[in-house]
Formats: sequence, structure tokens, C-alpha cells
Amino acid sequence: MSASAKDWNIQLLPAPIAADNKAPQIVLPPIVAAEVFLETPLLQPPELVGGLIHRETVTMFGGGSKSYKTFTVLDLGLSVSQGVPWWGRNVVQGRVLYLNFEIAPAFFQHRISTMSDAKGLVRPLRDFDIWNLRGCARGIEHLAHPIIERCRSGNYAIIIIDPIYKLMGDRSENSNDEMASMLNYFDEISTEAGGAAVVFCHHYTKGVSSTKAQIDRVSGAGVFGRYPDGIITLTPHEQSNAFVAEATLRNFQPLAPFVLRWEYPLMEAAEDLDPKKQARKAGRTPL
Amino acid sequence: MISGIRLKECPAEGEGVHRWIFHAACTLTDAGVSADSAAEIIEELMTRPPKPWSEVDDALRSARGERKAGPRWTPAIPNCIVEVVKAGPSLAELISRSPQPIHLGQPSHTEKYIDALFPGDPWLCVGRSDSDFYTTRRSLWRERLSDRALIVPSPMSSQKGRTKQGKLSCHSEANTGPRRFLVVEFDSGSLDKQAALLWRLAQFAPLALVVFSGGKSAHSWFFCEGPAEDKLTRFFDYATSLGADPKTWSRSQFVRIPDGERSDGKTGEGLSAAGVVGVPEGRQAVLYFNLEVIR
Repeated sequence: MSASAKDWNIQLLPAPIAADNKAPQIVLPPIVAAEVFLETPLLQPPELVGGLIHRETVTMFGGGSKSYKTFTVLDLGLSVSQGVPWWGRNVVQGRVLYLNFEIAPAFFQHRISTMSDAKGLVRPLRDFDIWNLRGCARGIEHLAHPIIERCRSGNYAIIIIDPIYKLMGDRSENSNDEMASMLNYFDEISTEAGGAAVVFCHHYTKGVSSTKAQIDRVSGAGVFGRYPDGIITLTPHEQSNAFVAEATLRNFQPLAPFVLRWEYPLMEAAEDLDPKKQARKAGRTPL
Repeated sequence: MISGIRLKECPAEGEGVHRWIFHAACTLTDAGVSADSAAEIIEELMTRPPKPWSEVDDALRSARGERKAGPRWTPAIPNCIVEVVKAGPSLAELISRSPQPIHLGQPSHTEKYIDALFPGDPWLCVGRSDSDFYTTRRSLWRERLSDRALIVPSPMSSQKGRTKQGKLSCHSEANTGPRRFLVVEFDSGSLDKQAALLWRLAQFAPLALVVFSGGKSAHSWFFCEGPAEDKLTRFFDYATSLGADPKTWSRSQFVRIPDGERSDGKTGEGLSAAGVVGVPEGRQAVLYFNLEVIR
């Protein structure tokens, strides 16, 4: 709409909100009998990472500041795009889009190059697209549609958004309503991009994370613990440079915690370490 | 504990004193404590002075059911706000859409705007602050408005009227005339976001003026002589669903005078954050002006 009204056009206002509940009116699907619902088998979205991530879902990676979250999800992107295992789990090869809001392009380039060498990947890398957006942070309401436009023709299996706080705009991280409205856009991106998995990074609160329930460790509103289909966290282990990986998964069998050791530039399984021994002090354990 | 009456402890300033006052007023009224005694008890337990000074009396009158309840406005609906903000425009675009060109950085044109908004010689209530105001004829305000901060956006019906506390005052609901302008203010979010929201409202009502508060917000003035009150209520309810502050529904509510001067002389960073520069420090700059919709 470009022109302002010359006179009062109340009749054009959106439908009034019902006085009883003050909630916007929406069209809801019908209620169906269970047997009717069972008549047509529905296909589950394919597994992208065995036992961890489906397509058409939203997954959050949480960790403390400087806990190698970006390295971790970059490793995920490289693994999916090249069809090689990630954290020892099988992946289904697919095209990846990485939205890098944080790392300066020169450093990001170095990371990708170093990691692909360390993983022994064959160059040129296929099916891995980078969108360097550092300096373009805006509220998700401004970015969702440009992102969707770029993704529609991309046939992406997974879209990685790193980190989420760059898309909050004016929203308060502590507001459930405002964070839910932001996360709703991730569903929209997933759907409009043809069912890509959306993975995003979020940081822990300050302090000792191991004393909180796994889904409550990230900073801000409680909706972060409820909205994503998968919540994967990296919490410092009591041994230096090791992290306990834990996952709360809506659509998979529960996953036992396990330990990863940081061996620059990759996380490697550390089967010799006990996942129960999480660090009791805040911050990255010293080298 | 006051002679068997259990009152919660008054919270620290900024943590809900106003709500506590209402709780205390209801509790004491229900217990049969007289209004004078209740006011004394409440003021003694409060952790800050009343703001405004009638705050405790107002709460006690509400507790006795003597205050008329205003409309119950729809609270902000975040998803609707997000959708509207997505459509824009930005503040800079809003300024560029002004039918009367906006030239920021020039000497104040308050007199010109007031002449256009309030033709003739009506009573106008103008203030430097909430406690420093006066009502007189437009002609007597001439050449004295550009350093003022506040104005009631509708002409006053007389110089003085009785406040709810029964005192004669230049600023009361009783001496505020019929609505001429309905002002909408969004009290949160960037000015770009506010520009998108008020532009949305401008699709349904004649937007005459947008004034920068000098701080964080923009006041949008909608010309409203003519429409019935129920239409205005419907419109304002939609505005609150987009996050508008309900307080400007009151006819006598002070709003920012166009091209006036903030009493503290300061300017918030909202304008520069929206890429709008050149506004003198403390100026409540006009950002949009449409003379055509004013009759």
C-alpha cells in the first residue's frame, strides 16, 4: 500500500478480534476421526543425519561462547554436502546453504579450507553454498523473505543460520512471544525452501551450564527449550578441550550423552571420557 | 500487618509499585478502612512518592468502584506487528512520502503548523512539562510556542475545568473540547518499525502529521472531526493491537507539539539510527505533514 487515506476507511480495517478471547481469527483444519486419519499413510521426512536430524525440522545447536559452535555446524554442512559421516553418523547427501552472519569472510574462507582438508574432502566442494551476511544483521522479518527467495530454487536439504541473535532485530531475547514469532519464520523458511532442515546456533547463558537441565541452558526465553524439534548442546567436560554432546529430540529415540574432543579444526569422538563428568566451572576449560 | 489486615510488602521503585497501590487500596477498602486512613497507610508504606500526586486517591476511588472504566484495548499481537513491519516503509521513506515537503534542520515552524492544525482562535492547552502548562487563546500563544514541548491535540472548550480531584485546572478532561486529532504513539521499537506501523494505520484514517518526540518515538496525528466515537474506538483498538500506547486515547493527554523543543533539550539516537540527520538537538521535528486531510 503506498497511498495514505484521505478520509476514514474503518470498513477496510481487518476483521475485529473476537471480544471473548481477543485472538486473531484463523482458518483451522477440520477435526478427523482417528481411523480416517490412519487411512492415508503419511511419509515421514527423510533422515538427514542418522538419529539426529530430519528434513523439514528445526534444530538448535547450543553452547557457551567460544565453544566451537560455528566449527561444529560448519562441519555438519560440509559433511551433508559431501555425503560423509558427521560425528560418526551417516548422513544423506544434500545441498547445503550456510548463512554466515558472524565470521568475517576471509576467516570463514580459511575455516572452510582448513576443515575440508582435515576431513579429507575432495575439491572442488559440491553442493555447499555460502552466504556471507556479516554486517547485514536485521530482524528476521526483514530477512526471511529475501532468504526464501534465494532458497526456492536451491533445492537445499539443510539451511544453517549462524548465529541466531543476529536476526533478533528489536525483539527481546527474554520474550517468549517475540522469540516464538522469530522461530515461526524458521518454519516458514523450511517449508518455502522445499522442506529443508533449518539448523541454527544459539549461545548459553552466562555461568555454570552443567547445573541446568539440557534444554534450559541457552540464553533467553523458555520457548527455545520447546520450539525446536531437536536441541543439541555442547557443554564443557571437566577435562580440558572436551565437550559433552547431549540431544533432546522430538522425533528420534533418546540419545545417550557422549564426549567430543576438540582437535583443531574438528571435534572427534572421545570414547575414553565419561559424559557424566561435566565441568563445574563456567567457561571453556583451559588448554 | 495493620490491625489484622494483611498487605503485601511494597516492591522497590520500578518493580510494580503502581500495582501494589491498587492491591493495598482494594485490601484496605474491603476491610472497611476509611479513605483518609487508607491513603495515609498506603503512602507510609510506599517506596516512592505518588506519581502523579493523585495516584493513591485514584487507586482508592477505583477500589470503591467510582472510576469509570475506559475501553479495554486489544493488547499487541506480535505476529501482526511483524507482518506490518515487513511491509515498511522505513522512516526515511515515510518522510519522502510527505505531501508537504519536509525540510529538516530549518528554524522551527511551530506557528505555521499550529495555524494549520487549529485555525481560528481556539483555546489551546500548551505546556513545557506535565506540571508546567497553561490554556489560553491561540492568538495569545503567537510567537511563544516554538520552545514549548507539549500540547493537547484538540482545542479546549474553556480556559479551566475541574480535574477528577475537583480542582480547577487549565488541563483537565472537563475543559477539553471534542476530538480534533487522535494521536497514536508506538512506545517501543525503532523509528523505522514505528514508521511502518503508523503508515499501516494511515491506510484507514487521514494522517495529518507525524512528530518526532525528541526521544524514541513518533506521534502520528489523525484528523478525526466527523467520525462517530465508535469508529474511532475501532480504529484505536486496531492501533493497540499493533502496539500503540493506549494512553493517547484520553482527549486531554499531552502529546508533542510539532517542531517544538523538548524541555530537557536532548535528542535521542532514534533518528540517526534510522538514517535521518540534520535535526537540531532537542527539536521535536515534523516528519510528515498532509494539509489536505485537515478541514
